Amino acid sequence: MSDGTILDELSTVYVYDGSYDGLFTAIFDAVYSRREPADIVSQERLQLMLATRFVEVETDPSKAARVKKAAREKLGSQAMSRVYRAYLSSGSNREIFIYHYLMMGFRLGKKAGNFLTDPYVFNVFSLSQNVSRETDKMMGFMRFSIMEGGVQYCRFSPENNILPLTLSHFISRFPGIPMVIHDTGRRLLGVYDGKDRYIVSAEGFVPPKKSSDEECFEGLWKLFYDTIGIKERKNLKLMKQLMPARYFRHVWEF
Amino acid sequence: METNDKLRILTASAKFDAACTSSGSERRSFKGGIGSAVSAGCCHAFSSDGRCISLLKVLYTNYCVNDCKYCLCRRSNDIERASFEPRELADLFMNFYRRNYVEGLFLSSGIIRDPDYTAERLLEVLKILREEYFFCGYIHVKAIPGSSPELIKALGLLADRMSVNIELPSESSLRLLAPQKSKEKVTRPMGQIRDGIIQRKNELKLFKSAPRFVPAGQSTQMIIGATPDSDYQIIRLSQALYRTYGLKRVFYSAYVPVGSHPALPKDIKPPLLREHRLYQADWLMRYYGFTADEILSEENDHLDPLLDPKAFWALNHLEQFPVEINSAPYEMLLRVPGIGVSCARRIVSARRAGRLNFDDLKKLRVQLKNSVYFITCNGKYLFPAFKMNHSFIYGGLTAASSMMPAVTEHRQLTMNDDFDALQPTTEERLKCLTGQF
Repeated sequence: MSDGTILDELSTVYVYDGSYDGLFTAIFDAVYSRREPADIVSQERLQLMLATRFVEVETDPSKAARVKKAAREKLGSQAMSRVYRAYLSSGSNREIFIYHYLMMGFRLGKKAGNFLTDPYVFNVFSLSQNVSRETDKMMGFMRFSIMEGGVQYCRFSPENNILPLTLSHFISRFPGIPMVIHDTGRRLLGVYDGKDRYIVSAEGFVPPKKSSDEECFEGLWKLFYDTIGIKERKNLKLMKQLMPARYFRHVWEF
Repeated sequence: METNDKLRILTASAKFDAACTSSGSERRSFKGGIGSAVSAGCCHAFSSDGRCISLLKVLYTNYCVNDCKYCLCRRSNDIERASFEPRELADLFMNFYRRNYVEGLFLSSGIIRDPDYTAERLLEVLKILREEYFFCGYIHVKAIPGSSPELIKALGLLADRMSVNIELPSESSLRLLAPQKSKEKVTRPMGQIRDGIIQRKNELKLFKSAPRFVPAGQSTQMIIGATPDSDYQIIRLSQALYRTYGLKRVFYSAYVPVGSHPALPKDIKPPLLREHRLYQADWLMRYYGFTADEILSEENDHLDPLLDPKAFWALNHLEQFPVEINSAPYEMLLRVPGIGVSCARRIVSARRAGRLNFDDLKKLRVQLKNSVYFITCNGKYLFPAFKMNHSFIYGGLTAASSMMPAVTEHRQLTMNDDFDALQPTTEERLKCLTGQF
């Protein structure tokens, strides 16, 4: 695909739309154009650099599906869920780590996961782990209110984009109960109407009013929280270490 | 009485029970049902003492016919008393659960009227939850010592975990401080639950839909520091419980002086460090392949306050070290101080891809501060001067900061990271750090 100009000397940066399919389309394009990416970035993180050729990627679900299928066959489903979690992380450079991890996987198969001393493999592992850890914590720290009309509503502001993971968790926990999870940092809404789920922009969204019972149960929970601690063992330092202050904003007990 | 007051009184009476884990059971909700459980467990908050709040931990009632001297709810103690109504408690719990305040229910009780009557009340709560609300989340319920086997069986079919608390680590202490209890009263329901779990396993081999019986296993608790029992006695007892009754967990609870008996210590601080060391020893027995007699002995019957039990063992068994990272079996890697389960697994996985040196270990986030005295990479120590010398290593392990700044510079503080879903669970590991469990 060389066009024989000076552009060949430039490093190539693929720009995708931020979606998971977009990322896999970018990987598809990079592989088939044989132009090793210097970076893969989403539009919102795009910064113009000198001496760089930018390639705009047009998201194509069928291309993405081909890469995903091949990767699943070659690396296994555990590796793919790791890649998905790394994609959801807020780590910069995550796309290029994923690209190199996948390339290594295509070469080596499942063995690639053993190369933990390889920086790309290691970074994909630790980003994905970071996402898993935050998801696990959030599943406990998220608090729902029941709103007028019976919808469950919860707001949170996670570091990584874990809305899809937490939404799935709560849908399987409360099947059939409509709910809205509001990521206030990314301005996203995870909506479940009792049957289908969507992730939409929260632009212009005003949460409904809390139902009249809410205050009572928030009070009871706070009472429980205050009573359960053993005062002879008081250890606020430990408490804060386990539940850092950034989680305080959306819970009732403080 | 208002629900408010009941919740306050019955939580205050339940708080000394250490068990508050939601792990060990996997449940999925079905259409029309509500709730789920993940086997890793989940912490929903941390209380002012730094302990994890996972379950709504309350007593059904704090009226009690027994007069156990160490217990807050003993008959002779003058405290506020209350009882829930089964439906009241079930409704309150479901309201907490739907708001994601808690992961499940922990239901214990004082003994009101007689053991059977109490167990029937608990059963009623569980029935409302499982059969009216179709609750599919986690329930931990106490087996009331002295209640009939039929009731224990019925509870076990609805609960995820059951527990019978031993409370005092020896029979003589039990006789002195809990005259209405006896070893037999505690071990009988324990044996019954064990047999029920085994029976279910066998039934599963024959037909797929065998009813669940205590799927998250059973646990127990011992109070630490109320009686003169030694650490060696305690971990021997734990080991026996794990082996003969197949317990999932033994919890240790540092004694907070609430008792009245002249034999009980007064005005002591809860022995938190001792509790922490016992949990470390417990972990060694459950996940690291140690036996109680390797950790302590008749002559040396208390855990060292300065060294964790694994480091203590390693120092006294220097003949088994150094361990070569590239060739040592997994079981031996686990015995190196500073290398835990996830770390050992990472090493085993990474060395399949090539030989490891100390730089690689840093990349794998192996904590070198303690392990560096006990390991070699490709036959070499990190620092050639390291000798298998007891006092030198002891100094290094007990030093407040590392003796090797060059090494620790690279060390990441987040060491509790694992790459696969491993035992021990996230929740347990968190608790391991807190010394709480």
